[in-house]
Amino acid sequence: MDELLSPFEGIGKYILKIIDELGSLIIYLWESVLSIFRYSINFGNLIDQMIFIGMDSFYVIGLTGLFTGMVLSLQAYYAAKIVGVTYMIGPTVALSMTRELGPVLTALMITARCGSSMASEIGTMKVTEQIDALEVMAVDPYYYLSIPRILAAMIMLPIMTILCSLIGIIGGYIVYAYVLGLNHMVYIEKIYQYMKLSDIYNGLLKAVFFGIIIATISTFKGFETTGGSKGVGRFTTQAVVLSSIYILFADYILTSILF
Amino acid sequence: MIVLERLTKSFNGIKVLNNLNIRFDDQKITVVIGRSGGGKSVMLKHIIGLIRPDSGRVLINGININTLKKKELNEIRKKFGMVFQDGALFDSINIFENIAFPVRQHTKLKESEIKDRVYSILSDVGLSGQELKMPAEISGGMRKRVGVARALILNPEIVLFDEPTTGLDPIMSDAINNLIISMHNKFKFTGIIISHNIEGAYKTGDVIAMLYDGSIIEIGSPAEIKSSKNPVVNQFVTGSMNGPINFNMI
Amino acid sequence: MKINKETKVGIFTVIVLLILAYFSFRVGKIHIFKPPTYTISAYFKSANGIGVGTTVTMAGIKIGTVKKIELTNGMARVYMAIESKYKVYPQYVASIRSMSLLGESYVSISPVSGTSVSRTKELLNGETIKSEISPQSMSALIMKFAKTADDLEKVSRSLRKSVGTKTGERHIKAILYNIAMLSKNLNRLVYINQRNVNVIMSNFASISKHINGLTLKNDAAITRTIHNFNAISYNLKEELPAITENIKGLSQNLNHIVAKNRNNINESLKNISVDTKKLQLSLNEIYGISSKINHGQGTIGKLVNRNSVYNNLNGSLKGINTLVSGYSQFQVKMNMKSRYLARSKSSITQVNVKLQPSPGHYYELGVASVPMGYGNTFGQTQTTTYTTNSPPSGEFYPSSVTTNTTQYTYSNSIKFNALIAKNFYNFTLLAGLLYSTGGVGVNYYIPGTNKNIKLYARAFGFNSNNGSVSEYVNAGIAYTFYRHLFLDAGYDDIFSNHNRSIYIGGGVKFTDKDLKYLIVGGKMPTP
Repeated sequence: MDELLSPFEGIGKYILKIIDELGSLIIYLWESVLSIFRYSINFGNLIDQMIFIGMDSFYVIGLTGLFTGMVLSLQAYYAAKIVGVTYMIGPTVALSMTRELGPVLTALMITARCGSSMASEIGTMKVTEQIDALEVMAVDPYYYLSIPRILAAMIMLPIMTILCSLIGIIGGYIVYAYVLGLNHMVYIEKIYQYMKLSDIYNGLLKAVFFGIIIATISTFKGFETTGGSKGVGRFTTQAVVLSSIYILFADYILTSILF
Repeated sequence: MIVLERLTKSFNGIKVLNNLNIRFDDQKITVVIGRSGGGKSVMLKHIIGLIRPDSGRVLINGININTLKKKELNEIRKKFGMVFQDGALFDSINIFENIAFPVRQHTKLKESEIKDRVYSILSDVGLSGQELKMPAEISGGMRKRVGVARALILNPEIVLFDEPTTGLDPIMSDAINNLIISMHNKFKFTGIIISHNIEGAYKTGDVIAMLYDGSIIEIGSPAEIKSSKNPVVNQFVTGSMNGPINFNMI
Repeated sequence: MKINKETKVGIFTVIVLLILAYFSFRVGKIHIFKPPTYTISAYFKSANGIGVGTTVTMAGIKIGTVKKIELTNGMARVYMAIESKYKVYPQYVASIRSMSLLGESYVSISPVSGTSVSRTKELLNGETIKSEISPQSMSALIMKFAKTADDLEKVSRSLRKSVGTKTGERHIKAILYNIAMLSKNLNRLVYINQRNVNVIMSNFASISKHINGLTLKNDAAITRTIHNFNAISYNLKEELPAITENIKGLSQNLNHIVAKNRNNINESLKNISVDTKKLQLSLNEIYGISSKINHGQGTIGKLVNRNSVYNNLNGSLKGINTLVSGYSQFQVKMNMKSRYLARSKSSITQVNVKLQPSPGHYYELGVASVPMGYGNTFGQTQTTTYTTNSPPSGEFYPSSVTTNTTQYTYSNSIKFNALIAKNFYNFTLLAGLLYSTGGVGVNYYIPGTNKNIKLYARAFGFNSNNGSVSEYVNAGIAYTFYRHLFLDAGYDDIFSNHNRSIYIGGGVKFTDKDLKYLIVGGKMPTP
């Protein structure tokens, strides 16, 4: 009988673990948000994090956007030329970038670059008792470490998304005009014709959520870290994987709500 | 005055603290000795509210800190300074900023005043001229001294030392012990040192307490501990392999 | 000069926000500086189809927008804000037009032909301009369509009279049977003569070889010939204007003739209904021929005349009837998709047309271009062997054999899809021809996603003639992320150890609604 029930026990444990993790994540976010009201914002840390997530990520985001736009343009051409609607390539690239790929790719690249670094930095602080030291010095570690990161990610993600989408559209333009040799005016004109303001702003709204997700999960996993340097590695990996999954999951949910 | 009452704590079903009672008198240095992993650090973390007990109370000047809210607890914590085993210095900022950190967080002093304070305490701990180095660039002994400086910068009532001499050579250990004594003479804080270095305990402690099997089994002046009849204390003090302390018990 | 951190963040953020603001204005068509305008108005019998914000154009260029519409003395008075840089003169006339059959309406201002513009004063703020009835009112056009449809119906009715009778049906059956026999015979003929065809092919190869040699030898002569050609085409070019002039004249004459004989043409259309009666006669004749053939094989005659066949036919005719009545439900969809197979680094591209007579089921017809070795596709290889030396006596094998191998390989092969699909709740079951082989499939639309996420599986290759190829099974997920665009990913040939491969792809899909819009060039319908 026990053997028969053990798989169910496993499933139950797994589900409880997921719920537990999600629950503590939400409690953590709530605590962090509360500490915004409890203390004033630490602007020095916020600026440091904004530089780290924003300007320092510019090349990564730019290259991602550029090549994505170029590939989109090429691929759309392949399909569009069959029906002779090559004038739709511009809107295809622009809408894909602003609505979907811009926010998601930016979020994934920032996760890889900054989320991992947040998790490992806080994780290292945890295992070397620096977090305890903060608490002993009566400094709320959420206020000191999480809030600047969450706020910075929230602010910089949309900004980097704008750049990613713009560079992507420029990349698509380069391929459209110079590689495929099509009329470059059509590309721009049709984008303006078919794009709506809501396409841009819903994409940016997504990016804000992605920013919250990245910073929350990464810092949370950092605070959870136990088990020395090996633990830091393990929790950093968890942070990146979990952030990526939650981003894609949230992307679906937000898309179904927003569009 | 700090009082721990019937403190009990277990991790994963193993009782680390078992009905522990102790009182730490004001302006005295109490050294808690005991085996590695014997629950000394856990006791220390209870005192500062990093860990909450399963049962029992932690009273600081008569206030039970386990029932406090986060903000009230932080007010209590401002009375404390703590020196961590490995220093726990923030490795993203330099020595100066590490020492200035509590000042910046809790006071609104001007930059010049902060500078004066940090330089004064740096010279007290014998680290003048090292303030621009990063924590990764200095030796273990120096890290401990920076830790002491950071703990003392706000002139706290109570200072906790988590194994201040562990991992140092005998000369450096002695230097740290002397530093603790001189700082105590200067600032008159209530000191709680946990250590397994018996020689250091004799030197620094006004009172020595022995933590064994989750509770305090003996407390008294260094002379009393030295001449204790308790076989466990005796074995620990003499550092003998033979006695009631079993090696399998960790 | 050293820039501190705060300034860096500030500059960066401001630049990005400026970019965002610029594109928001462009995309949102928000203009901070409105160009100066002046207002004119015009009276229309009907302002149907236009509203505030409707474009006002002249010679196809936007010159302003409709500002206000009000009812004055039973007429619609339309106020238009015209940009000051464009001038409107009193001789100009406003009319309401449509961009296309289904497109939006706009106000067009145009000069009346024949009057000179330059000498008159331009129209000022608040003045009124004349209007005219739009030259092609939509309802008039629709009336014309309706009339045409009436005529069409008359023709089809008489056609039905001739074909729809029992005898007519029997005739058709007989004809169909004969056609089937013919194609069978043709098939056999081709099969029998396959060897001959091969010989012909090899002859052809040798001929082309000879031609090659010939051209090498006659290089000079060919060059000369090309020169001559050149000269001829040059002459032609010279005379082309004259020729086109003639053609123009000719077409003009033709036009005249058509215009003169319009009545006659109408007459002849009426005669068509008479002609269809004659069709029955000719059908009788065809029947006579086929019945002669039938005489030889009486059993088959029975088969053709069997009642069940007739009933089936009747049933399908009924089906067609319901099809016609349910025309409003009838949908045509089209999709183009491309898949990249990671393992073989090749791609599959297909175009499918979905005919959906009712929401419950549809037919899918398509053409696919698949890589070599996909499904049952193999390169066509033709080997031709020339034996130049006859074997010397006493030896079993020829002493010298020259073998020429010509290999025709195609990087991609064309395959066809023809599927019947039936919808059950969120599932769709498909069966029929997949990549020119027998196949079945299932789609599952994830509920609540507006059919945007689809899980699917296909199995095909069941009746492939090639023994070495087994069934193909692939499965994947398709995600429509924007109205007409979808992404596709999955696993191809799952049960084959050496061939299984991940694929990714995507494509475009259109419904008949979109196609209509594409053809008439209007704006896309918003979902």
